[in-house]
Amino acid sequence: MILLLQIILGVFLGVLFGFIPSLHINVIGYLILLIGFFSNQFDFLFFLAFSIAQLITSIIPAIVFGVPTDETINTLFPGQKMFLLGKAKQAIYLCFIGYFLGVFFAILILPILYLLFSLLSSFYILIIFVILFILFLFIYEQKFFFDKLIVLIMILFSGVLGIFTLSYNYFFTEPIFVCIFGLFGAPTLIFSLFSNKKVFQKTEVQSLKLKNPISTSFLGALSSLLVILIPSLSSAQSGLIISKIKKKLTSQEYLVLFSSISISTLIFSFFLSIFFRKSRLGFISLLLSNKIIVPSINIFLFITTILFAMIFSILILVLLLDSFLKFVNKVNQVVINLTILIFSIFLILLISGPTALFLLFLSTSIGFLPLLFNKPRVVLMSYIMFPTLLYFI
Amino acid sequence: MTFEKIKYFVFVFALLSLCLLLFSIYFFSPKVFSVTDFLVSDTSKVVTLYGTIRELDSTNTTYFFNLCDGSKCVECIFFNPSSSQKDLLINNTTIKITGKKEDKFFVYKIEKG
Repeated sequence: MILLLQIILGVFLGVLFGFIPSLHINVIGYLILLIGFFSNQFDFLFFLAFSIAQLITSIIPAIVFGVPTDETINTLFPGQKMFLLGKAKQAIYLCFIGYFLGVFFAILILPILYLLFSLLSSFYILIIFVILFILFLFIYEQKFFFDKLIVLIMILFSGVLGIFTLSYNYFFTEPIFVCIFGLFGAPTLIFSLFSNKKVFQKTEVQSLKLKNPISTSFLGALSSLLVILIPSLSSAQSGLIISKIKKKLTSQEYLVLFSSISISTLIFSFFLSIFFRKSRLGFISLLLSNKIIVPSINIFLFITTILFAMIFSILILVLLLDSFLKFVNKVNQVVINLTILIFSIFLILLISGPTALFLLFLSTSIGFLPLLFNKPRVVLMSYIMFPTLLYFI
Repeated sequence: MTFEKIKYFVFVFALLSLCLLLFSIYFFSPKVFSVTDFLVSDTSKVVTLYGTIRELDSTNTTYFFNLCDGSKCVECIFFNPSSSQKDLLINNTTIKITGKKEDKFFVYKIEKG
């Protein structure tokens, strides 16, 4: 009974924290350690339910406010497109479908993950070529030499920032939190402050027009295996690789795919912490290393908690979403975006300290470059690709 | 649109800031401590420690170890070390690490001792 209450509390808190823009689960883990209270009182399953609910909910600020975490970056671009058409609710529902199906497929794939993780020797080196190929494609896709040069410069700026803050970080606490907000969130918010355009979000969903949700979600869950098995590869990069291979995906299919990837990665990461005492998420590594959570090996409880947390979170959000979108429609968009901007800067100061302001200005200026030069913002993903390349050197 | 006029300014600002960050990292020289002296000083700044590795353990991409100097040890965590850094950790008992103590000592860089 106590476990059930903890799981329900985990879901509620996860939903609450998920609404906070740009807040990544690793930052929450850092805050939990600072506070200490939660970590000593609660079971592993509380953190599992919390993480799932937080991830599912975080798609809402990513789409509605354009402020992603590194887990929801890939949903930003198709999600924002739909937001600007007044179809944010539709985009969010598509992500729910991705999460829902992704969970089921991730559970089905767990035995394969168990086998692969036990048996697989390293073929990681191939990933270097995949990443280099994607970076090459970013440049090659531009028509003119000047455009290619601009994109190359953006890739280098963002990639070098990634190396300085992720591989050789001496000065900053939680730099990824600051840089993801600066590269992707802050420019969107600042741009919108100068835009007079008010986009009303529809609260009815007419038709999702989705082809092959099952195969798309399954592909997402499968590609999460790449994330778990290949060190330093993130779910954002995995999504990017798939999107380059399967070029003819619609925005709707992208949302389902990326949602499936992110939830499957989370589930696999918790699974590895139970059976192999290994983790791909900094949050879980921290909690394991502090022996704050001692993972249960009851697989039945593990799967039941995941299903319960996913279904319960989606139900809560479906009930809240209309009210939330009506609120967004009523309130001045400029006021909302300014509030989020100020709140995010406050959070950055709280977590990373005053030195992070320099990093914020730097990453925001780099984040502005694609908007100012009218280039795809996805090239800024080199921020996490360059450190991944360095990892293999 | 105002932003059209400032794009080159933003570009130059980004370039100069990156250069500033590069020079800061390149010329940054943390204070060097032995483990014993570090535990006494209890500083929260970025420092370099030297000592011997004990109880090395790892999860997928995170390494945990104690850096020791006689009987005094500091608990260390190293997230996502590169291949060469992993080799240094595994193949050397005496090393120099640069990092910062928060709850544990978070390692940013590792060199031969």
